[in-house]
Amino acid sequence: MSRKHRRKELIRIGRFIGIRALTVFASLVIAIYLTILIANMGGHIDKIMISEVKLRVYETLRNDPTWKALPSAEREKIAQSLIQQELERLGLTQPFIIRSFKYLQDALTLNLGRAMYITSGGGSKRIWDIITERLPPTILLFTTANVIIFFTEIFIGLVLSRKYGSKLDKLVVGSAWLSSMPGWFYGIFLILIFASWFKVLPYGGMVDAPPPEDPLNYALSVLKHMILPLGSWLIAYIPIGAYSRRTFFLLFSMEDYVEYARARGVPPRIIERRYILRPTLPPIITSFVLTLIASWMGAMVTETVFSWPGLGTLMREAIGINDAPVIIGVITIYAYLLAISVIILDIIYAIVDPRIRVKG
Amino acid sequence: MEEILRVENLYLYFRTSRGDVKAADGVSFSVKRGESLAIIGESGCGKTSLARALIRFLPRNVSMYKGKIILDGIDIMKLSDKEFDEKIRWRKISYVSQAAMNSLNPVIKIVDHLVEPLILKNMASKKEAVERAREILKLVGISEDFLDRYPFELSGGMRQRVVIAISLITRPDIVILDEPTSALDVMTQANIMNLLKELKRRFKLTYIFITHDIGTSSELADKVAVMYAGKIVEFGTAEQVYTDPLHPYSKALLNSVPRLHEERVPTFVPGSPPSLINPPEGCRFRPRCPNAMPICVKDPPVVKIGKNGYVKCWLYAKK
Amino acid sequence: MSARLRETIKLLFKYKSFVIGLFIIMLFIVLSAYAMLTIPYDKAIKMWNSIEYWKDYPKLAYPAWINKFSAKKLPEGTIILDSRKKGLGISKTVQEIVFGGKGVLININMEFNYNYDDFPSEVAMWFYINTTQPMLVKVTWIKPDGTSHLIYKEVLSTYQYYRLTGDLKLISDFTAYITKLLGRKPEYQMTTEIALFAKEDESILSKETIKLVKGRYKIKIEARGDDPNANLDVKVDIYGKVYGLLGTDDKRRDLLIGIMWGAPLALSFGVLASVMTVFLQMIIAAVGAWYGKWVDHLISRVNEIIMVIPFLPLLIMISYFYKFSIWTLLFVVVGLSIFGPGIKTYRAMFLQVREMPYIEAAQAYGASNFRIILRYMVPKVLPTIIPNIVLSVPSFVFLEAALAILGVGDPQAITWGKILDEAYVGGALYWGLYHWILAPSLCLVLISVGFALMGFTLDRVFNPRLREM
Repeated sequence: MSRKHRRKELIRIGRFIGIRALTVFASLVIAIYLTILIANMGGHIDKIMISEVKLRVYETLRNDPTWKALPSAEREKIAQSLIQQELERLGLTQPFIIRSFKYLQDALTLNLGRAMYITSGGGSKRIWDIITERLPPTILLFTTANVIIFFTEIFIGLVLSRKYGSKLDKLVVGSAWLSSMPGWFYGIFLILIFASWFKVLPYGGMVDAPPPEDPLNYALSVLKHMILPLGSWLIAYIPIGAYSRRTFFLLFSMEDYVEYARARGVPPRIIERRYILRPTLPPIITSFVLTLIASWMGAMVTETVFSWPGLGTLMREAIGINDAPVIIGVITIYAYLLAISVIILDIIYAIVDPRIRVKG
Repeated sequence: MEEILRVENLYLYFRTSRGDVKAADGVSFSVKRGESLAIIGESGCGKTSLARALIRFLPRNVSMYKGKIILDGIDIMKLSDKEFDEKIRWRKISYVSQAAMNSLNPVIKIVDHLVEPLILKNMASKKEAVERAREILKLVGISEDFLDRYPFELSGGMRQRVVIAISLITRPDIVILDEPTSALDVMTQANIMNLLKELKRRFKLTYIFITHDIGTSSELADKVAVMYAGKIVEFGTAEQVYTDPLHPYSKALLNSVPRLHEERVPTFVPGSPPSLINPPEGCRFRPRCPNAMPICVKDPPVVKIGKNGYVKCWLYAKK
Repeated sequence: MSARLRETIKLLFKYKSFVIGLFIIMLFIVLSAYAMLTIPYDKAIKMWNSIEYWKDYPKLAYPAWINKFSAKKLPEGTIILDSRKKGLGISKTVQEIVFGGKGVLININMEFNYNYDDFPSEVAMWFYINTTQPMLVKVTWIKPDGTSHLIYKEVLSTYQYYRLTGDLKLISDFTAYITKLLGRKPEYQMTTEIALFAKEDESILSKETIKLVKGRYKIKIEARGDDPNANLDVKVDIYGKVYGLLGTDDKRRDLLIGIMWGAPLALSFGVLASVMTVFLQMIIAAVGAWYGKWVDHLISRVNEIIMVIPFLPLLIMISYFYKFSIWTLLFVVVGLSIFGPGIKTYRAMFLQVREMPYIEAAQAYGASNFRIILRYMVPKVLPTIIPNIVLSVPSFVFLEAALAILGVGDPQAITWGKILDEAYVGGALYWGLYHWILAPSLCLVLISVGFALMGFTLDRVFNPRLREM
C-alpha cells in the first residue's frame, strides 16, 4: 500500500470526521443556547430569582432586631439597598441577552459556576463538583445497559439469520411487541414484583444505606442495585433490537455476494463474519448512535423511577427547586455526552466503511 | 478428447407456497474435455437452476435432487456434502454467477477476494496466494494496482473479470458461467467473450455456459443444449443446432435472432413459457407449437441424432 | 385501487395478531366513546381536579369486588349521615329554651347499621353552624353493645370540620379509659376506628384479638346556644375500605373515572402525535428529495444538527416553565420529534422513487411539483409509513406518561400516565395498593400491545420482502 495512497486515505477520513465534528458542535452550541434561552423564557427565571432574593433579604432582616426597630421608611431603604447589592452580586442587573452569551461561553467551556441551592454530597456548591458526583452512576448504568443490549441483539440477529423459520426465530419475532413499552415502565413492575412482593431486591438507589466499607462489598451492593434497572432495559429493548437485526441480517444474507460465497463453499461461520456482519457494520453503527441518543433521554425517567443518583434525578431536583444554573449545567453535560458519543461512533464508522476512505 | 462430464436424468425440484417448482425435470447431456457447452433458452426455463444443480448450490427449499453427474468417471452425486466441498467445489468445477457485479463483497479488497479460495482450501500460503492473485489478475487484463481496491471502485466489466479470475484461481477443470455477459454493454461483452476464449485455450478449460443471448453464445459454443420448461428439447453440436435446428422450439428461437446478411424478418414465439409448477401434460411446447399433433399430448421420446445429439419431439420419432 | 385495498385487508385479517390487536384497540375506542358521552370533557376535568366533589369517597380504597374473594368483608363505600337530608335513622329536633335569656337546644340523633368484618378507614364530621352566638356542641358515640363515649365537646361559632381519625386526644383518652377499665395497657398504639368500633373487653388489648362490634350504632349530637335562631347541621362520614370497580386514589377519586377518561386522551394524543409527526417528516423529506441541491442539503444538515440535541431535557424545561396544557404539549412534542432518523429514511425512499420513469413522464406532461410529490411520490411510500405510524403510537402515549412522572405534564389532565405517577409517588408499591398502580399500567400495556400487534402485522403485509425464502 503506497505511502501516498495511505496519506490520501487519512486525509479523507480526517475530512469526514471534521465535517461531522462541526455538525455535532453546532448541535452542541444550539442545544446549550436554547437551554439558556428557555431557562429564562418570559423572564421567568429572572422573576423567580429576583423574588427569591427579595425573600431572603427580608428573612435575614426580620431576624435582626435593630432593623425591626427602625421606622418603616428607613427599613424600606435598607431592604432595597441590600436587595440591590444581592442582585448585583448575582449579576442579575444586566439585560438578559447580554448575559445569555456569557452563559453560553461559560457553558461551552464547562465553566458551570455555582448552584443556587443544591450542594454536592461533599458540601461543595460548585456545579462541576455536583455534576461529577452524579455523572459516574449515570454512565455506569447506561453504558452497561447499551453495551449489553447492542452485543446481545447482534448475536441473536446473526444466529437467527441462519435459522429462518425455526422455533427460536418465531419466538423472537413473536416477542417484538415487548418493546412497545419503555424500560422505565418495566422498571415499575420489576420493583413491584421483586422489591414489593418477593422482597429480594432493593426498591431503588445505587447502594445499600449505609454503604459497605470495603470495596468488594460496595461493588457487590452496587451490582445488586443495578439488577432491576438493567433488567428493565434489557426486557424493553432487546426484543425489537433482535427483531430488526434479524430482519436486517436476513435481507443481507440474500445479497448476491453472500449467495456467491455460499456457492464457493465458504464455511457458514466465515460467511457470517465476513459477508454479513462486516458489510453491515456501517448501518449498524448508525443505528447504535440513534439508540444512544434515545437512551440518554429515557435515562432520565428510569433514574427517577429507581431513585438512581445520577444526572436524571439531579435534573429533576433542580427543576423542582428552580435552581437554574444547575439545570443549564446538567443539560450542557447531557449535550456534551451525546456529542462525544456521536463523534466516537462517527470515527469508528469512518474506519469501518471503506467508501469513506476512498471517496470521502 | 475424452468425455469429462456426463449428466443423466438430473432432477431438481424446490418447494414454494404454490407448489413444487420443477426446475430441472430429467435433464441429460454430456461434455468432452476442452469443449464449450451452451445451454440456451428463454427466461424461466430452469437454466440457472440446472447450472446450480451441477455445483450442488441448492436453494433452501429444495424438495428433490437426484440423478447422476459423472465427472471423470466418478458419480459426484454420491459424494457427501463435505466431500463435495473438499474435492469438487472450486477444485474441479467452479461457477461464475449471474449478476457478477454484485457478487463481490463491498467491504473486502480485491486481493482478499482472490486469495480466499486458495486459503480456505489450503492450496497455498498467504504469500503464494497473493502472488497467484497478482498473476491471475494480469491474465484477465486488470492491472495489479487494483489488488488493494474495493469492488465499488471498479467498473462493471472489471468486476466481471474479477469474478472470472476468482473462478479460475484454483485451476478447476470445468467452469460454469451463468449469463456471463448479459448485464454488460456490447463493447464489454465482446471483450469478455474474447477473454473467455483466450483463457479456455490457455488452460484447456471446459465451459458450460448458460445464456439467453443466442448471438454471443454462438461465438464460444462447441455443443448446444436447448432448454424448455425444465427439459432439454434438443442437444447437438453448435453447427448442427444453429444452422439446422430440428425441434420446433429451437427453430422458433433461432428465427427470432436477426441475422446480418438476411432479408428475413425475425419472428417471435407467441404465448409465454409455461409455469414450472404445473407444466402441461406431454410435450411442454405443445400449446405454442406450430407443428403440434394429436400425439403430442404424450411425453415425446428422445430421438438420437448423429453421434451424441438428440431431439425430444414426436416429429422425428420413428413409427 | 380499492380492489387491492380489499385484498390487503383480507390478508391482514388472516393474521391472528392483527385481529387481537384490532380488538383491543376497538375496546378502547368504545370505552372512549362511552366516557365522552357520559361525562363531557370540561366537566370531567373540573370533577377530577376538585377536592370538594370527592369529599365523601373513601381514600385509597380497594376495588369492591375484592370482597368476593376474601372471608373478611371489608366496609364498602361510605356511610353518610347528613342531618340536612331527612333519611332513615336521622332525626333532628330544635327547641327554643328559656333559661335567663333566650336560647336554643338542638338534638340530632343518628343511627346506622354496621355489619362488616373490618373497621372503617376513616371517620369525620362536619358541623354546619349558622349562629350569632357560640354554641356548645357535644357528640356522644354509642356502640350496639351499649357502651357509649363522649367523643367531642367544643364551643363552635362557625363551620367546623373535625376528623376523628388521627385525633390524638381522642385516642389517648380512650387508651386511658381502657387501661383503667381492664387494668392493663393495650399492647399497641390504638386508632380512632378501634376506639369507636371495637369490643371493649380483654380482646381489645392485643391487635390480633380485637373484635369488631356489629349492629346498630347511634350518634347523639347536642348543641346549646344563646342565639334562638341558630341552626346546626351535622354530617358524619364513616369511610369504608373498598369502593367501586377500581377503587380510589389518595385524593379519594374513583379510579374508574380516571381510567375511563384516560382512554380517549391516550388514543387521541398517541394517534395525533404519531400521524402528525410522520406526515410532517414525510413532507419535509419529500421536499428535500424533490427539490434537491441546496434545499436538500440544508434540510439534511438542519436535521442532523437537531437530531443530536437532547430533546427530552429541553421538553421538560419548557413544560416546567410553561405548564402546558396537554394539547399544546402535543404540538411541542411533535415539533421536537420530527427531526431524526425518520426524515433520513423517508428521504432515501423518495430519492429512489424520484428516479422512477413515471415521475419523469409526469414532469414531461407538465404536472406541478406539488402535484407530483403528493400524488405520485407519497403513495409509493405510504405502505412503509402506515406500519410506522401505528407502531409509534405507543411511544407517544408513554412519552406523555414519562412527562407526568417527571412532574412536568399537564397538571389538570386525566391521563393514565398521571395516575401512574400519582400511584408511584403515593407509595402504592410500598403500601401494597396494587390496584392503584395496576389499573393505569394495565391500560398502558394493553394499548401498547394492541398497536404493536397491529403494527407488526401491517409491516409484514405491506413490506413482504421476506415472504419468499
